[in-house]
Parts: sequence; structure tokens; C-alpha cells
Amino acid sequence: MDAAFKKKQSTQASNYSRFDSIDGEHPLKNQTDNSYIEYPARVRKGGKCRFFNFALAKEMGLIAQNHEEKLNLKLEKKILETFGLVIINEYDQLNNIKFKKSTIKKNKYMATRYLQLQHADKRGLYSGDGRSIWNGTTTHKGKTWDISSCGTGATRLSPATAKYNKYFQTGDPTISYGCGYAEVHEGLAALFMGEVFNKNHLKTERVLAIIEYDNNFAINVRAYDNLLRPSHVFNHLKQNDVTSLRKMIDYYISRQSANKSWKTTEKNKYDYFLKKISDNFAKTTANFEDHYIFCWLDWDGDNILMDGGIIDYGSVRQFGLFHHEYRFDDDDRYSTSILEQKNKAKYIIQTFIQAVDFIKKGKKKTLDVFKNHALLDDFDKTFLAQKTDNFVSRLALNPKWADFLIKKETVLLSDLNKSFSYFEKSKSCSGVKATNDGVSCDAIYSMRDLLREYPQLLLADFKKIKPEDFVAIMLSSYALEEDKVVTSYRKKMIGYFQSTYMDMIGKISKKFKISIEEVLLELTMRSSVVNKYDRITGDAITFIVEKIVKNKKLKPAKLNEILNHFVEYQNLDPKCLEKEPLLKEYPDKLLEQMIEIVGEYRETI
Amino acid sequence: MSLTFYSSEYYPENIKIDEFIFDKFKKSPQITFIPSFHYDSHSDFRYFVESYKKLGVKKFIHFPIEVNFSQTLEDIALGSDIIHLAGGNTFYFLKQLKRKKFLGKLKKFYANGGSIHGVSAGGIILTPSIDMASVPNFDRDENNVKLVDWSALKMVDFHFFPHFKNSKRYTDPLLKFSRKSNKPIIACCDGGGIVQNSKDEQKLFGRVFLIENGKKTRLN
Repeated sequence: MDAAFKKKQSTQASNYSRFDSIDGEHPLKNQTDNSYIEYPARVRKGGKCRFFNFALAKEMGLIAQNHEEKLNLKLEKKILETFGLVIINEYDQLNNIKFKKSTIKKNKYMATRYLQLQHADKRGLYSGDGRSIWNGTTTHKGKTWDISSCGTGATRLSPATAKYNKYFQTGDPTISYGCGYAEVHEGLAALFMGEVFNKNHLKTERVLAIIEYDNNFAINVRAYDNLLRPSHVFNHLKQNDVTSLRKMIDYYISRQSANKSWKTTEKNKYDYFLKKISDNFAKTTANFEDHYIFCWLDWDGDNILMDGGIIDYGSVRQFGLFHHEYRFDDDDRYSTSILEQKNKAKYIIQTFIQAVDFIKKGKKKTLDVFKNHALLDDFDKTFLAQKTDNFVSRLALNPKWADFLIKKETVLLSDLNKSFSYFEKSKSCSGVKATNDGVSCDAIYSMRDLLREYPQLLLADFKKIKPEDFVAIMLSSYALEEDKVVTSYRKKMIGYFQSTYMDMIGKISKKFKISIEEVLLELTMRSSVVNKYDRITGDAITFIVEKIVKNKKLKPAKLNEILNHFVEYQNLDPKCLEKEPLLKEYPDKLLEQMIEIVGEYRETI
Repeated sequence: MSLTFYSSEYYPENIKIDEFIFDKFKKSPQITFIPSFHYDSHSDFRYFVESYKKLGVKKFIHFPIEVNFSQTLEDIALGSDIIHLAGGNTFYFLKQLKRKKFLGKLKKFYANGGSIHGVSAGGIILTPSIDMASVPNFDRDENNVKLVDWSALKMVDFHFFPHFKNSKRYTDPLLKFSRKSNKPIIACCDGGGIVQNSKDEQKLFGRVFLIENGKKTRLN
């Protein structure tokens, strides 16, 4: 490599000019004034970059592809100048608080308005980003990304202002959530869960950077290709503001089209919009159920993105077992349960149908009018199809075998699923009880353990195992003595599962002309990945984050390296079997501890 | 039944050792694969399966020791014809085997006619102690798990040193160790190995050295 080429590469790698366009300007500002509030912002002192997502920054084109995964002074300065901001809010303005002119940013930043069920007015007049601002957008390779930051100061859209009818000073310690700050642990939890979900093909916001301040406060910077939520649309519907409603939906469609996520024409765009949103939500809720992801969906369309992506990890959890009666306790109300998410999603779609009808006809009908809309039947069909796809994936079948079974052996699959679901939903005799942050009735069987071990047992000896041994494979630590009893019905279902599973193996073997051993061996290998023994849970992430927050010596580059290993270790895509192992050496202490934590909390919520 | 010590995994020359072992089985044996660490062990297991399928093996059990298994699967794993202890960090591997009280089970498995294969760390664990994992200074396993008791399976009466390179750098620390040790060291270069049957008869493959009382001798 000659010196000139080297110099050019190095200059490209340290070019951070793309950050300069993230300056508060956002195309949403050109749509409708009552979708946001603008705030002047200033650079907040005392921040240091705790984490920077190099891989994401490369994907977004913010840094060069050949940039080393290490912070340098120039890059850190750029991150702090771009994202280390605090708004000059109503409190500051009313109290005439002065700030150094040199620290004030040129443009204003928006806090967006959206519907939130915890706000009393139920119309979204006073709710939205209570402690966040939108930093702007960046476009790379034809894709535009939205970037927003949480912890940038108290806005008047926070529940605290709505409740007490006054403006709060940013950082006011008397009003915890309404003080406008966010914490490091929130950013880290979103980072770890988000990156693991993203690796496993689940749509989610992603953490771009975490800027840490004193007392574990932080600004958590998030990015996604479209950060609008249904609640950004529903507020206009509730307010009967058809003009803003149309503008928001048009804006969303045009961004999706520009990003090449959607392909639609002007003529059919609203029907296309409804179909896409319905399909996305049907698939998302099916995925949530099968990945045991608890994401509080409700009528307001908050806590979820328009395409079904996850946003706001505050109450998001992944369960180790199917704890389908868990409910989050949000002080004055309980959340939905994981099985209720589907109907809430359907309700969101019904609301979108109402919104589009309002746009098309100019008159708002009641929501009830749309309860039998054909699109809701479509929703159910897409949901069921996704559940079937998920089931064959969980069985660890390769795509060819899965396709054959879905097309030709529907009854067999459905029979197998019936007994599988029976065990998956089995609950402890202990009944509903309190957890750290809600209530739950413990699930007692680990279906991942069953699906991982069972093909191995059949590979050793292709015959049914005793009911007691079958139960022992999947019995979790939640099971009480009473739960371990093999009742006559359980015995029947065990027999049923084993017969249909073995039947399935036989059919694959016959169809693809391979031996039963070969089928089982491939299932064994794939299932060890798909049904990994130690998959993350919400609890595991909480404890991992606690460990990282305490480790003040952990440099961003090292955290980035550990994150990469951790995410790879949580990769549940059997395609990873084809790759070389990521980690050649024994893991370092922190990663080993993280793996231990995941193992310890693998069955929890 | 036999004990096999491989210097390294998946070396092309290992085929000679494998063919020697697998010729002795009248029907295709069932093998239990025990990785040294379960992180990413599914990838190692796949490599393992690909290699041994070529020798006609059809039944494999993946058994990462740190993970909790049902008794049924453990019985099946211990009912295999061969148990394969993979390579990795010897200290971590031995600690996990001890934590899961598996040393006794492996001894019983061997006493009941099973064969055990040990690759690198797995081979060191078959010997009286895992001292060989700590030499030489420049190429040793780190004892991050702070294992105090280094005693191992004691299934043979020698130390096993894998990945040996016949150079002064490697030889000198081993000669020094052998002067203080009452047990000989058998050092194997990569691609080499030792098969020892129940009558303690040994068959050597590749380049194998005996290091004893401060002297090094080529054994084959």
C-alpha cells in the first residue's frame, strides 16, 4: 500500500461531516404544525461517550466502512456536539434563565406529539415525547434513518406537566420521570435487547450512542428507518383533525416508498397502507407470542412502531418460558398479557381502518362500524400463517422440509402443534402471584429444552420414551411437586406428541429419501441453535446491565467488542452453523459472567 | 475399549488414528461430543459431525457439560460407544467436569468398556493432572477460573503434552518439568496421537516424543 493511498484511507476514516446534517431539521416539520413542539437546544456539559454503535453507524453511513471500532477524540467530540444536548424548555424561558450563546444550537429540535393512554385527555392534546427530541435524519444508500434522543430535558408533553399543570425544570429531582433525564441502564438495556432482537430478524429501534453524565444519567440515542408510531397518527384521529391525519399517513407512506420498503402508487396508496400495516402487526404479534416477547400493546398505539418494530424498552421483556399470564404493574393499571397482544394489535388495525375511511370520505364513523371489516379476517389469516411458520422454525426444520410439511402435511403439523401448545401453556398449581414488577402465573415446561433434546434421544433410539422421562426433559425450576404429576390427560398428550413427532420424521425421511438418522442429526444440530439452552430474558438483561453500569472502567471499544460477541452468542439463526466460530479464544471475564447470568435467569421473565 | 489422545482437532493426519480406532468397531459407533465450553459449541459440533460422518458414524450426541440435561439424555450420552472430550481451555473444562461430578462417570464409562477420545485439553484431562496446560509460559492456558485442584482423571500414568513443536523453546520447559516429576511426559506434534488399549498397549501416530528425567527421546 503506498503512502498516498494510506493517507486517503485515513482521511476518509476520520471524516465525520455526516454528523453535521443531524441538526434538528426533520421532514416531518414540513407536514403539520400540530404534530410537534419545537425547542431551542444547547450542548450539555459533562458528557462522555459510554457507548457508540460502530456497526450501526457504518450502516447509516455516519462513519466510513473502514473506520476502526474505537473512539478517537475527534469522533467523541462530534458525538457529544451532535447528541449531547438539552432543550431550553418552557421553565427555562419563563424564568429567563440565560445560557452561553456559543452553546446554543442553530436550529430548533422537535418533541413529537402522540397519543398515550396514561394521559387523562385521551386525545393526545398534551402527550408525546416527554423527555426526547428528534435529532434529525441521515440518508445512506437510498435509506433515510430517523434519529432521536431520550433524556434531553423535560418537555411540556410529559405526563408530569399534564398532571400538575406546570412546567418542570430539567433535572428537577422532585419529579422523577418528568424531570426529562434518562439513565444509563435504560440505554444499555435497550442496546442489548435491541441488538439481540435485530440479529434475530425482529424489527426494533437500535441504540446508536449512549452519552453518560453524572449520577448515571444519560442521553440515549436511538435510530430506525422510520420512528413513527401508530399513536403519532391516532391523536389526529381522536381530535377529528382529518387534514393532519391525512398528512401524517401520506408522510409515512412517502417515507416507506422512498426507503424502498414499500412499492405503491398514488391511486391505491391507502389500501396498500392498510394491508401492509395489518400484515406487519399480524406477523409481529405472532412473533411476539412465539419468541415470548412481552411488549405492552394497547389502544393508543404507543410502545410500537408503525411497521411493528419495537420501541421503548422500558417494559419490554423476553420470557424464558411461556409465562402467558404475566402482567406489568404500571401503578394505576395492569398491562395486557402476551396472549392479549394479538387482539390489541387487531384493535390498532381497526383504528387504522377507521382513520383511512375518515380520510377517504371526510366523515368519521364510529370504530365499531369496522369491527367486521374484511381486513381483520386477513389479519387473522396472516397471524395464523406466521404462527405456522414460527412453529416449523422452532421445530428446527430446514426450509425445504418445512415447506413440504406446510403444503402437504397440514393435519400432521396441526396435530403436533396441538400437543405442543398444551405443554407450552401449562401453568403451575401455585396460581397467580406477584413478581418484582407485576403479576404472573409460572409456566412449568421449557419447550426449548424439549425441542433441543428430543431429536437426540430419538437419534440414539427411535422409539417412544416413558411419560415420566418425557416430562423430566422439559420440567422447569418453576414446577412444584404437584406440577410434576403425570396425569392421565398429560400422559395422553405425551403419547400424542411423540407419535406425531415421529410420524413427521418418517414423512420427511420418505419424501426426501434420506435416513431417519440423517433427519434427526440435522434437527439435533439446528435445534441446538434455534432452541439454545440459554436465551436472554428480561431479568438476565437487567442483571447484565447492572454489572456493566458498575464497571466504570469499561471503555466504549471494549463494550462494543463484548456486545458483538454477546449478540453472536444469542444468534438463533441456524445459518450461523455454516459460519466459523466467532470466538476463537476462551471469553474474557465479563463476557463469561454475562453468559453465566443468562444461564441463571434463562427461565424467568 | 481404548483411550485416544489427539494433539489437535481436525488435522488431516488424524485420519490415520481415526481409521485405526473405527476399524475395531463391528457396527457404526454412537459418539457423545463434549465441548470444553458451550459458547458457540454448536459450530464445533457441526465440524465434528462433518468429520466423523465420513467414517460412517451416524449417531452423535451433543453434550455441553455446563448445561443442565435430563437424566434420560445423560444416560444416553453415557451409553455411547465413544465419548469425545474436545479441546479448549483445560482449566475451565476440568472445572466444569468436576462441578457436574462427571469425572467419576467418565471413569465408570471406561471401566464398562467405553472408549474415550481426548483432544488437546480433553487429552490432558485423561492424565493424572492438568499440569501440562500451564507450560510453557508463552503457550499455556490461562487459569481464569482459578482452579486450585489440578488433579484429573488419572486414566494413564503419564502426562500428555499436545501441540508440541520439536524446538528448544518448547523442549526446555518440558525437560525442566520432567526433572521434578515422577511421571513421564508424552509430547505429540499436531496430526499425531496415541491410542492406548485396556492392556496399556500403545499405538503411536505422527511424531511422538518421550520426555523423562530431563531427557527427550523420539518414540516412533
